[in-house]
Amino acid sequence: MIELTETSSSAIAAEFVRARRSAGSPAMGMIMTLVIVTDDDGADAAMTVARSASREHPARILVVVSGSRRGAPRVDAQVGIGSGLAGERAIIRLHGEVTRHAESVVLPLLLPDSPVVVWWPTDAPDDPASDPLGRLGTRRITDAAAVARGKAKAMLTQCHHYAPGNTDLAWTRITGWRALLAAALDQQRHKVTSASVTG
Amino acid sequence: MTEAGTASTAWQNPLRDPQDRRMPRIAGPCGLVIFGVTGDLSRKKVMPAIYDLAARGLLPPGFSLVGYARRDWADQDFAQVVHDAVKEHARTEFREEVWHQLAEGFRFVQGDFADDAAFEHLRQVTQDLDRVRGTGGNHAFYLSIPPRFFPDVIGQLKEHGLAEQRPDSWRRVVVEKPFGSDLESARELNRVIHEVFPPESVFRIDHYLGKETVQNILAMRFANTMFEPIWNANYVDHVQITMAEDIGIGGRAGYYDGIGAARDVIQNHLLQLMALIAMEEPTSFEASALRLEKQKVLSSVVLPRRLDLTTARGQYTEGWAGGVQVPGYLQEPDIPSDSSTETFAAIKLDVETRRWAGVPFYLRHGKRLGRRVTEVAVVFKRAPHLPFTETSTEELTHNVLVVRIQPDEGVTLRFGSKVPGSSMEIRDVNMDFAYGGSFTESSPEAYERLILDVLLGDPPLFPQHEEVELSWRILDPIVDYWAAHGGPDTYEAGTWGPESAVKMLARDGRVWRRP
Repeated sequence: MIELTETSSSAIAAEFVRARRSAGSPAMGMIMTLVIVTDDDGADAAMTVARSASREHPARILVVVSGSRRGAPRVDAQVGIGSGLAGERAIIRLHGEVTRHAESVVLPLLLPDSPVVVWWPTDAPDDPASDPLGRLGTRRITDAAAVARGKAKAMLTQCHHYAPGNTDLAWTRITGWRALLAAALDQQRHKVTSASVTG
Repeated sequence: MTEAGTASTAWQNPLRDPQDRRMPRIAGPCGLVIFGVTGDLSRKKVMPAIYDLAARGLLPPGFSLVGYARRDWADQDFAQVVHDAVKEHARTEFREEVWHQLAEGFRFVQGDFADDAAFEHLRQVTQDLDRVRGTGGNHAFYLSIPPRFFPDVIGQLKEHGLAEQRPDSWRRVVVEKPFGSDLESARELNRVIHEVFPPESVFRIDHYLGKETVQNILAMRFANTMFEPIWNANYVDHVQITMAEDIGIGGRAGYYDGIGAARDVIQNHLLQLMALIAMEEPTSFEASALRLEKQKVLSSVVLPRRLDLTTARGQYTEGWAGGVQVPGYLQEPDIPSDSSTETFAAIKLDVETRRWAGVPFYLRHGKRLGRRVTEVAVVFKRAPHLPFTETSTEELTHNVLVVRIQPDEGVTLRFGSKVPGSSMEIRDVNMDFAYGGSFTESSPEAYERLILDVLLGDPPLFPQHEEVELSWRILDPIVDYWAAHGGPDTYEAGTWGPESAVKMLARDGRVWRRP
């Protein structure tokens, strides 16, 4: 990992190229850019998940950590490739005014042509599709179950602002259950008039 | 190699063998005179390139460098400036012995561009060099100065006998872009230069043509069999050529304002790239054969009828770019607050040949865009029939061949592949060729190659006046149309250009790639 302090997107991009060259330009086949929006506490956990996800979908992972909004604008970054990760990764820490313009830091680092996934591991914006960072993504991943308080309300907020390309992990988690349910109905070919869910 | 056209063409050097690829091409005895030696270009590109050439052993031992500028410098002061420029910008390692050898040939001449006495002094200096350093009367004059001074300098060179072509030596002139600001001024400029120097002694530097990746376009197209059969309107949907810069205009306000993105970059770099992509196979790689094909394709370019629907231009406004707050174009120092100069330009061109009928070429260039990148993307048609369901090909787009000119030089091929798993899902994957991976030798800078070619008198990489005039003929109607129809649109710094550029492609049912 290379530490860059008081840096900019072009320096981070140059570091990606340099790191790749010095590793002998290995075939990476990165198929997407994964942008993780989080805070200091969540960064490590999110990185662990991203690392295992990268084995299935090699990606350029950009972890955007917003610090205090006060003080002079400043961008720090840790850039690296390899070490248990298929693809490239940068942990980008923002301080001061630039925290409000995180999309300007991320935009120059998106891989050409390929899809962009934006993931908020904990607290997502109410309307991800109109969030400045969310707008960069073709897929936006939220998790209503991960908010600290008011999970049901968070779920409803996400439903209310649904736009094509939004995915909530709460929905993904019940896939197995949904498959069981659907399989059950395959056997009993009756019209469903009402349903109740307990748990 | 320099006495072309004389009886000596029949003579062959017995020490050279066409099969010997090991022996490098070293310039014969010669010297270079740089006008405007104190400028940015000269310090950042030309001087370091000369050092790099010397370090690689490609310059003759007696090579001389004469600086000409208004500053009141002695030869040592000049040497110091070159020294600093070389230390800071040269690609190869700084070695004292190379430097000493090179520095012995440094001279400085102080004067204005219309100064008779100074040009007389310059003549004496070059004659001294011929005597002391053995440059043999071979001198190239590098005009790293604004074009408005060309008539003065060229006239003075002629008057003081510096441009005189003798059978046993050569005089060449090197000019940088801009080659005029429209067809008329380009013709005037060519007239001025050609009055004194014959066409084959004029070297116009378009540094893009010196780049390895650009020369590789020709190798890729004409040395391989797999690309040529699909390189036509049957398979190609459209071509996108992008040159994006993340910087603003920097200290170039005086030059840039009133010129704008289209004249600054599209006229030269982008149209040259387009010519290399679209041209037919040349009969050989001789300069004249290459030039002929490029001219053919440039003269078959036609503009769409509705320029309002097929062009877009913009000017950057204040914003955040790459995590840094940057001013808008109108807030840049020395830019008038009502300037209507465009900093982003996108145009659509058609090539009326059998090969390219119905295939639009989209060219765009801008400052303060998302990132610094130059790429040519050949976008292929979608398969006429897909025996898959719509959901399984949801993430499949067009096949694309991308030539990455800079940075991260290479070629990318993008096509669909099945995602491993029990369902049939197809999505885009990349196949990459990276220069850094396949050739570990670092590529020479474009200027090294071009300066060496000037000294060798090898012209394939330099556009001649016909090409320049053809390019202006393409661009002039667009720039005139813009001038007559209000100001440019705006776009926030750090984004990918104005909304109008997106709409321009949307009308054709296409989108700009994110490069």
